[in-house]
Amino acid sequence: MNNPYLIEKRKKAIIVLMTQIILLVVFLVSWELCSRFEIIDSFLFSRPSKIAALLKRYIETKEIYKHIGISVLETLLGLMIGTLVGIGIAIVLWWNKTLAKICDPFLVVFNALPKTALAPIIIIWIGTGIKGITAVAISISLVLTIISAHSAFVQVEEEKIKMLQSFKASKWQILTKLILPANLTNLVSIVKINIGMSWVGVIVGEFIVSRYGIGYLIMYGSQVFNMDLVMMGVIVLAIISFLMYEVVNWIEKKIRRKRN
Amino acid sequence: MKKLEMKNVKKTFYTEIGALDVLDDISFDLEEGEIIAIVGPSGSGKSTLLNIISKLLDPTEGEIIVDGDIGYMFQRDHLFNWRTVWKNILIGLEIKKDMDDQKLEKIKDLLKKYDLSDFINNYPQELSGGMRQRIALIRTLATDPDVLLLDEPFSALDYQTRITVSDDIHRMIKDSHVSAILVTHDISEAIAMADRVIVLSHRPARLKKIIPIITDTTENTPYAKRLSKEFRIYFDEIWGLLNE
Repeated sequence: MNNPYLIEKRKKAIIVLMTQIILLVVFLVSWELCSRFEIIDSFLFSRPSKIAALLKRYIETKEIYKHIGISVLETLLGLMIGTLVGIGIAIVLWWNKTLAKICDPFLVVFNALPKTALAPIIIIWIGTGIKGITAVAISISLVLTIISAHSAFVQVEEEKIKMLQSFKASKWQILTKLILPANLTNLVSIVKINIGMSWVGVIVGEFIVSRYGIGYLIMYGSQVFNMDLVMMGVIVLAIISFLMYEVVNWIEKKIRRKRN
Repeated sequence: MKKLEMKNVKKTFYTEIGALDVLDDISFDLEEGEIIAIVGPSGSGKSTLLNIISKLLDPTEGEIIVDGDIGYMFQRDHLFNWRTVWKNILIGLEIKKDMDDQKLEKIKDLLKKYDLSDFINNYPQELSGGMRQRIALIRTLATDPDVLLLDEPFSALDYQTRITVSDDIHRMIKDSHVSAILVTHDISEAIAMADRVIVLSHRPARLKKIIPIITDTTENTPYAKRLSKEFRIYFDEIWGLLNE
């Protein structure tokens, strides 16, 4: 490791990481101190030590796992169904240009609509529990998935399609040998965006009606004015969605490395 | 033996602004093992002609008779960056579900002959433009076409690569006994590569002249033809026809 470029690069990476850690520590310490000395209202703003203590209790009683488990399950279900169905519909629209034209204005309107407004309706129609909340999660990611996957599909170079047609490729072969593999990185980006979308759906769904889940913890905490619980819910949520995002990031990097 | 016959082909496109005549009464034929170059002013419908021959478009009038299969080679190599060189070459056979040991052997021979065997497990983005274009030709030749259509196949390459790659590709075409139609806007390239040059007029494109290229060279390579004394005469003639 005598390459000066690499040494320099490593140095910079360490500086960035150290600064990030220092910032986080400074933030947590000043929060703790401000709250302890009542510079900020400790009832409204809670404090890291109390949140940590509460989280420890939840972990000890194993109750937290139930909430995390159910929210993660709903999110993953929403993510998978929303992404797969969305890509499936995008494929149908790619296949049939007239159908794509017909659907276009409806998709645009649906996409512009804040989908959270539909959540109460969906829950009334589908019911409460995992089913309803997953449906809310799907509704949030589905339309955007259709629109972005379809626009990625139609952007594949016309001449590449012509090249395959010169071998007398069927439409199905063009799809599986060109359109889908050419858009693999785009599809992974869609999954990445849908993680966030799916979480929004799950939390909103749990806010409306639920008995378990991280959204439930946050909602319940706010209703009984237990800010420690609310903050804990938010922090657990942040950590889990970050982890999910990192997993997909890692997959994306592996694909990109192979292709460049 | 004729591999391809064009008889009085006409093509009219209908667009928002009305009818647009692109090709008008084009007739020529292609002999076995022959290379024909088609030159014409830009927008004269050269690509339309290729699309009609490859049956991606139908002619408005006239008839095209092709004896055998057609292979198409483009300006850009269109190699897929998620497939290795080997997998890229096999895509045609994969689509036609026509893979057998004999064909694979033939491809391996071609790769060996053009010094590409060491790269079959590489990805195309790791190779130079000239190598990529030769691989694209092998991909086309892999399915054993009888007639090869080359649509400006060298214009994306830098000058030096273009000269060497056109020698290689000329050799590959002649060795595999296919007939070829080369569309280009480069007059020198047309003379260097082809046995006959077809000159088209402005739109609607008509056949201006078919010029057989006969040079007094010992070697029949594009490079040798470029150096021949007849080269300049042909160049002058075609230049004159294009600028009439």
